[in-house]
Order: sequence, then structure tokens, then C-alpha cells
Amino acid sequence: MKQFDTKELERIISLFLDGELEPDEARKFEEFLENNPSVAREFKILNAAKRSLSAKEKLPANDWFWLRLSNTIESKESRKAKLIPTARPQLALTMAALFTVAVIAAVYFKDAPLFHKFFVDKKNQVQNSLMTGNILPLFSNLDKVDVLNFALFGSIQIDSANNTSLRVKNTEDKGSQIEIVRREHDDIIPVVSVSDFCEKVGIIKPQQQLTVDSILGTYKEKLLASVLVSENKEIAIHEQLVDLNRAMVSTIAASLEPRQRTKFQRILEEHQAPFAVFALNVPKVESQLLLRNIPRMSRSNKYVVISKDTVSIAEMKMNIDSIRDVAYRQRSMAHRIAMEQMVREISELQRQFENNVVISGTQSSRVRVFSNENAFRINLEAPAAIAPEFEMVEMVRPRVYAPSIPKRGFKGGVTVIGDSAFSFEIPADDEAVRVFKRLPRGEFRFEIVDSIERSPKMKIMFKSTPSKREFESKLREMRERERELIDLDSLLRESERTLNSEKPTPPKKTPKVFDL
Amino acid sequence: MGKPAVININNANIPHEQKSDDSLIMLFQSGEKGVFRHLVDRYQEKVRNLIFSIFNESDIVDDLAQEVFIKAYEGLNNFRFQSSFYTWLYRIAVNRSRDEMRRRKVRRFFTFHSVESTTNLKLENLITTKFDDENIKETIEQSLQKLPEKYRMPIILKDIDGFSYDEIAEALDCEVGTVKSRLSRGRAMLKELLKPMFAN
Repeated sequence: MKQFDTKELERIISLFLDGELEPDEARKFEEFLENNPSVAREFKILNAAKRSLSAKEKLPANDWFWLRLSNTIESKESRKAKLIPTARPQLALTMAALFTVAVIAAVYFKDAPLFHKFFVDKKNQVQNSLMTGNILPLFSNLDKVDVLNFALFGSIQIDSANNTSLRVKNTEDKGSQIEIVRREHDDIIPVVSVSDFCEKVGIIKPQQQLTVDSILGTYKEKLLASVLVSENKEIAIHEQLVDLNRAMVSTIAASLEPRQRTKFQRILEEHQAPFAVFALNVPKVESQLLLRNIPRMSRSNKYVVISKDTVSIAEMKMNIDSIRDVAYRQRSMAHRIAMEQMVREISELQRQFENNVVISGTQSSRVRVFSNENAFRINLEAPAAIAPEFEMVEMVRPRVYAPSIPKRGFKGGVTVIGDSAFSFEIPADDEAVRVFKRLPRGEFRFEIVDSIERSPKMKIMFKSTPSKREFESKLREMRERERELIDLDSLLRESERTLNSEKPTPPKKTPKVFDL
Repeated sequence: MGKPAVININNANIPHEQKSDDSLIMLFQSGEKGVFRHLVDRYQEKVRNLIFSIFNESDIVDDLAQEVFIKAYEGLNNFRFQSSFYTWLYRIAVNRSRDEMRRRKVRRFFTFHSVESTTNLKLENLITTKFDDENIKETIEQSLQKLPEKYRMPIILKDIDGFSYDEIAEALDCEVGTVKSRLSRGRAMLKELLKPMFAN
């Protein structure tokens, strides 16, 4: 093969590398390479570089790409649509107004550094704001079974592989908890299907099935709006979430006939659900009234915002309708998996803050985060701030587990507990429940005991004992008259009077049972 | 270069995902703007990776790619089917990347002796390995970044994106002859940059 000048050689090597030489030329060039080791060496370098570049690693896919793009296009389109009908005089007016504002601003901020600082501060403020970028609901693909099971157990799985779940707990004394928990291998997550549920509760009539279905549908929307994920990798959990399952159980219970409600309570008991229905005998509430009264939007704008390294409470105004619309457009599995992945990542990072406590908010609403290798838990330490706004028919109470019931000497009589408290037990009929519900909390509390029995008992516990004797005599008197229903109204009025007039009796050292 | 605009749009039963680019563009031009999503789905990763190859920075990829698709959306009504959609899209991406480079006022001075790598790699390693050695890959990519933009762009389109000479010419808006000469010159420069690594 003939000798080449440098430029010509570069050209031929390049063409040969790309397979663009004619077969005849290519064969000749191969021969040339065999006879020219230095050129062959250079060719090998370029060939290696070409192979390396063609195997260049691709960027990971961006699942938010289309969402962000479509939002930009939409806003551009709407801006264009607004601009088109604008007449020129209006445009001139707008420009004049802008100019005026600019002049005023220039005069106002005549000090240039101040002017600059103003905008830098504003920029920082925007940059530091929470939940930036696109916002989507984490649970956009929920079905009614998910919602029902969240109502019953306060738990909902975050990832498709069922390895991480979100749980809520609501206790009257310790506030509310939101947990993101990694599932243990031996954890059994009960699942109750809607049809099983209806069958077990005895919901046969199509109209009633429709009501249950509508309740689940309504709360599905609420659940969807309660956990949001933003493009800058933050999770916002609405404070209503801690009350949602309680409200759902209450609303479902209210829609049932008393007999069905007892069966419902049995299911809750069987599955050790966090709530128990106590108002078993009150008549059912009409479905239309029930559904009409579930507020569509939450009054509160308070969210717990979790990022990779912080947890805070923030007041944020979200356009839930718009978020919901976007969610319905973005229901692809890819999006869901991407979001699940994000939540898993954030929760994994949060778990690394072992026994870490983050306190945020004011005295009236504080949030603490506790984490270990399996879970991180957010405690909302302000039970009063979490208003049960969805619960217009109060039907349920947090379930009392057997170990927490004081057992000492409780056999149906008045029982002295500890130094200054005492309790007694009465049939938990509707009127008794009604009376106790009306009374101020604090001085006493009551629990349903053995609620799945035909005649549930109600255990009433008092914090103090000054009116104990009055109670005893009153109760004894009533028993003597063989009255089934205790006039608790007058009983408590008397006890209050006694409390105000008498000094407390010295505390007792040993528990004592008074047989009535 | 021109392609006859003979497009079969009587394929109403075919789902949008399976329609050709040209059919989707025809639909777009007739007012069905929603089909743009399918074009984005098809090419977003290619455009993102092209921009990544040009800048070798992942931070700016999505912002620039978004701008590319917005420009494409705005210009699609004027698309005349004289080239394929993806070379047209690549041209937008290349032009936008050039604007960005100008904006940054990055001036890359090319020198044959600017390779900073201290790794004394052997040529045989480079040729025989399957490029699982990240150092080798990185060095080659860094060397590519050192080339002037007009030589770098054809190499990216040819070696990374696998374009033909014609397609590169369309995307870069130049003649095929220019593409060939830039490729050969760019490669010669790249070879000189890589040579010191194989001294032994």
C-alpha cells in the first residue's frame, strides 16, 4: 500500500474505525497496518477509545421528567392564552405599571446593597422552602381494600414488596405516633377484603354495601391527600392522618345496625385492631347524612415534613385538587415504584439517627423523632392539637389491651386502686355511655370491658376518693331498690358537691374491695 | 437529505406508543397535542445522555433537556419532515448545549500535553479488558472533554450515540465531508491525548 501523509492517514484510520472504507480499501489498509506497527498501535488506541465510549454508562432514568415538562408546557400555554387576547393599550399599561413599580423600588431601596440583600434574602427564602418541585401523593394507587385495612389496623404498606409500612397510633394520653417500620420476617399483616368484611358483619343489602363503599371511597381521597412526596425528596404527612383510621372506624360503625356493629366489634377484637366500638346499641345513622357530613377538605394545613436529615412541622397550603389531578395522570407503576424507593431511602437515612430526638414546633405542637434500625417513629406530642375533625359520630375509643387493665381486686364492686383512685363497674348500656360522654374528662375515665359479650360492662375509674363513701351508699341504695340503671347524673352531681365541700380522706395503703 | 413526506396516518387502530414519529407529529400538527408525550418518552433518555456526554455533568442535564423538549414542542408545528425527528431534536439539543457553553464562557484551550493522568496504563490492558476498569473509562472521557467542541461533538454523536455520517451532518447542520474531517481530526487529537498514558 502506498505511503500516506499524516492528514490522509488520520482520515483513513477514522473511516476504517467506523467501517466506512470500501472492502477493497479496507483489506489494503489492514495489510498496511500489519507492516506498520506504530500506526497499528495508534489504531489500537483509537479503537479502544471508541469501544470505551460506546459502552459509556447511561444516566439513571428520571421519572419526574415528563411531569415537570408537562407542567412547564401547561403553564407556558396558559400564559400564551392569556397574552393573546391582551390588547396593546393594556400591554402598554402593564409596562407602565411595571416601570412605576421599578422606579418606586429603586427609590425605596436607594441603598444598592440593601436592594441586593432584599432579593438575595428572598431567593434564599424560596430556596430553603420545604417541599419544592412537583408534589405527588405517595398513595396514588390505593384500592378500597387498602383503605379498609388502614381503617382496621392503622397500617398501610408503602412498597410493593411489602417490606416497609406506615403505621399510625393514637393514644389519648401520649399523643399520636406515625411510624415508618421495616417489616420483620415473622410479622403477619392481616388483610381483610371488602367482601369478607361485608359478609362477616352481615352487610347484605346492596344499599348498605354501597354506603360502605362510598365511605371507603371518600376516605381513600383523604388518605391520598395525607401523604405527599416532593421532587426534592421530602415526605409531608398531614396531621389528619393520625386520626383518619379512627374516623373511618367510627363512620363505618355509625352506618351499621346495632347487631352488625357488635359483629364489627368482634372483627376488630379478633384482629387486635387499635380501636373498639363502644356505642353498640345506638341506632344507625342514615347514610346520606353520614356521607354529607364528612368534610371534604381538612381545615388544617399542618404537615409533618420529613427529609433525609430533618423532621419539622410546617403550615403549608397545598392545592390538593391539583395534586390529585396530577396523581390521576401519573398513575404508572414506574412512578409509584420511584416514589416508594424515595420513601424507603429517606426512612433508611432517618433510621441511621439512632435514638435521635428532633424537636420542632412550639409548646403546643411538638414533634419528636425516635429511630432505630427497624423503624423511625414520629411522636406528635400535642394530642389536643390533633382535632378529631372527621369524627362527627363518636363511636370508638382506643382499644384497651388486657395487660393494661388493673386487675387488683376488681370483682364487680367498688375497687380502690393505689392510694387515691377507685373504680366500679356497671352495665354499659347506651344511656350510661351517653351520660359519661357528657361529663368533663380528667376526673375519671371509663372503659368498655368484655365488649363482645351480650351485655358489655363498663368500668369507671375515678382519680380521687373523697366522695367514695357517698358513692358506696348511693350505689348500695340503688341496688336495694333493684334499679337496673344507675342514675349517674345525680350520682356525679352529688359527688361533685361532696368534692367541693369535703376535705380529702387520707390515702389508703392497701387495696380494698367493698362488696355492695 | 430530504425525505418525502409520505406518511400513513390511516392507522387509527394502532396505539400511539406504536406509531411512527412522523405519524405522531402529523397528529400533533392536527391539534392532538397529547401525543407529544410519546415523543418525549421515546427520546428523553437519549437527549439527556447526549447532554451528559457533552458536559459530563449530571446536574445540568435535566434542566437543559427540559428546555430542548420545550423548544421542540414550540417548533413542532413547523416541522417539515425534511429530516427525521430525532436528528432534528438532536440539532436542538446540540444548539442549546452550544448556547450553554457560550453562556458559561468556557474556553477550552487544547494542548497535547495537558493530560493530567498519572496512571501508567498499558495499552494491552486498555485493549483487552472489557472496560470495567473505571479509571480507563474516566481517563478517556476526560480526554474527550478536553477536545474543542467542534471536534468533540461529532465523536460523541458517532461513538456514543452511534449516528451515521448523514445523521451527524443533519444534527450539526453541516456537510458530510465536514463531519468526516472533524471526526478524523478529533480522533487524532484524542489519540495524542491518550498516548502519554501508554508510554511503557
